[in-house]
Amino acid sequence: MKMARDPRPAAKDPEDTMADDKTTPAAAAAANNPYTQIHVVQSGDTLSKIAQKYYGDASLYPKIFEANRDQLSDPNRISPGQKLRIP
Amino acid sequence: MKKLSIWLLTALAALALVGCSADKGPAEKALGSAEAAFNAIHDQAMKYAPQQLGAVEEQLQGVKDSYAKGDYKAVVAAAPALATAISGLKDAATAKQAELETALAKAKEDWGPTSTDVPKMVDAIQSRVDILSKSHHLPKGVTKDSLAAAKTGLTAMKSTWGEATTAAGSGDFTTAMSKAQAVKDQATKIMQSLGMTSG
Repeated sequence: MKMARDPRPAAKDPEDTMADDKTTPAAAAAANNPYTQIHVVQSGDTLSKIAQKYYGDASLYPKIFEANRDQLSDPNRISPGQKLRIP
Repeated sequence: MKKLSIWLLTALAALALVGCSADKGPAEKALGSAEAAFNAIHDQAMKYAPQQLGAVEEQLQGVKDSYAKGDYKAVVAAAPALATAISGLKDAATAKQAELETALAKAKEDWGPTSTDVPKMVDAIQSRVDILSKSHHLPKGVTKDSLAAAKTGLTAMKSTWGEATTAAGSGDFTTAMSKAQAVKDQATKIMQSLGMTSG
């Protein structure tokens, strides 16, 4: 996972982050669980930064990506205001 | 004069005997009624008001002893208080039974949402613990100790949750909810310790 520690591009316009319907089991489990923590994307956020904040390790960003596959199609593209589940 | 005295003593003794015998009927009736009333509520009282039951049982035994000694007057005298005590015991047991039945009905009602809620809390914690276990560094505010405590807590919560579902399965929703609440409380603490409660 070479990309893991690379800085992710910062949050972009919502139009760029249209999700395709790729709901994974992790995403489904997180989506159905009201106790899954939610992070509201701020301008300048990346999945790596978010992973760093919640897990202390930026390389774990795929966990967040997988849990949000229903709304993210590209880990490089998140947009301010998006509500991401943090498993 | 001597004849008169003998006659008088005999008459007094006879009167006393008649007096005693006169009390025997009411005493027997009072004791019978008390025993019947006591037996009618015994099982309910044993279940819902065992301490009061013991006190009333002693009171009844005292009256029985008086009857056995032939002290019918004492039996008749004690009967009203005994009847009041038995009536009070019945009221206490009935009130306690109603209270427990209401609590059970509420616990049964609460169990539905709780039975889906608690496993989700546990799942959310398990997911976070699994991810943090793979992390090279822990996030701000989370220590190795709190992560270790969360792992231990998860094991305990799963065990307690198992007991709760077993209790619910046997219809004991009061115990089930009590254990479920313990799991919820512990889960809430662990979620806070892992920084899962802030956005």
